[in-house]
Amino acid sequence: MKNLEKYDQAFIECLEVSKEQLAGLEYQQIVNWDSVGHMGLVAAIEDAFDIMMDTDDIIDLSSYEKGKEILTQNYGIEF
Amino acid sequence: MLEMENKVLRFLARMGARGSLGQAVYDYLQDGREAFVVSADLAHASGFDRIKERFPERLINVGIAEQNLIGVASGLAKTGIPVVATSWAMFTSARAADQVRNFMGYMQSNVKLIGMDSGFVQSGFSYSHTNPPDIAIMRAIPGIKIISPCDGIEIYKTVYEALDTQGPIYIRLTGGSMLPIIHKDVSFHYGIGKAVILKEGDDAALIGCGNAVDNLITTSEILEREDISAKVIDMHTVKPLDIEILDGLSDYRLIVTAENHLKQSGLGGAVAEYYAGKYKRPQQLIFGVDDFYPKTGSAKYVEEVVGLNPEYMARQIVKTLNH
Repeated sequence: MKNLEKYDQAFIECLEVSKEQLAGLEYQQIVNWDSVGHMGLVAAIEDAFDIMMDTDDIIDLSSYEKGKEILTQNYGIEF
Repeated sequence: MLEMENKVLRFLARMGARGSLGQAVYDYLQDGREAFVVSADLAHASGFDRIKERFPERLINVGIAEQNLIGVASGLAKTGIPVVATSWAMFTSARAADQVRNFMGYMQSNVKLIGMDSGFVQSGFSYSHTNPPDIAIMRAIPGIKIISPCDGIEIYKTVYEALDTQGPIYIRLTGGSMLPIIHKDVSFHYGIGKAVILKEGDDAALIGCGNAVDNLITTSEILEREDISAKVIDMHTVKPLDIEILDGLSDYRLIVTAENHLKQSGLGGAVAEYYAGKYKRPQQLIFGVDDFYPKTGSAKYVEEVVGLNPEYMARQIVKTLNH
């Protein structure tokens, strides 16, 4: 599975959204992306890419787009 | 209940101790099962945000009033519905001891009392919030089970089983916002009063509860480098102890207990008391906090000061075995 597919899959499964909803999706914009959903998402991303995210990055992961930026800049994951 | 797949292990580790608690109680209610949830103004800290949103009629905030927490929880339990009650461990034990003794102990109220941030999690807030003698206090009250789970999945299973078990139970959470993953297989068998053997070994048996289990695993790895093989046991239920497992250790030369708690009257004391009347019993090293007040600092700092870090424990074990 390509990196973008793995990333999207984490969002789709954890937050129960469709692929069409991903662009522009932000933290607390939907019911499922609350603090609990956020930790589930982080765990899924960590599992998908076999990484451990820093606390600052977990806090900064505020949107679908921001997440990609963080993973690329701080964890060397290319999309 | 969460689908028991191994990816749940990382999710609960990331949720932390209180997040795992909140998730378990929320899922229990989502399953259509009945429970009341009472907190001393710590619903958010207990991980109950989703309960507040989706089951508001089940969540009661008594305010910063821990003795009243026990009274209200016990009264609610009279309805026949189990009650989860949460506050910080230093308050659920020391501050509310009289109410725990009378309502939960003597009256056997069906309350599952959660002592959050026990051990050294809040050591940064100075001694008033550090190292509460919660196991010691609860052990001295007849009829209350005491459980100290070591990781997220164990917290989750503990909460479910506790809610399904009649009678008062005290659950102490010693982990912070990121937990180690001790149980690597989500389907491990969990039962109140049934310890889990995490690793086999013949030279020494290391028995821990709560956060100390992770340190014991690391201790056993250090010992391996010294050609000492150590069995590691997760004794999550301090009361009642798993005496079948303890009876199986009587031929060991050395057993070691470790806990983020005073040495006196905790897990180590309970194990020592069990063996005291036995004709054949192993030598026991008890790791915990001595009779003093550690200074303020991080949990890791306090562990090193009190001698619960793996390097120190391993050195003491080697010294004892070589004596």
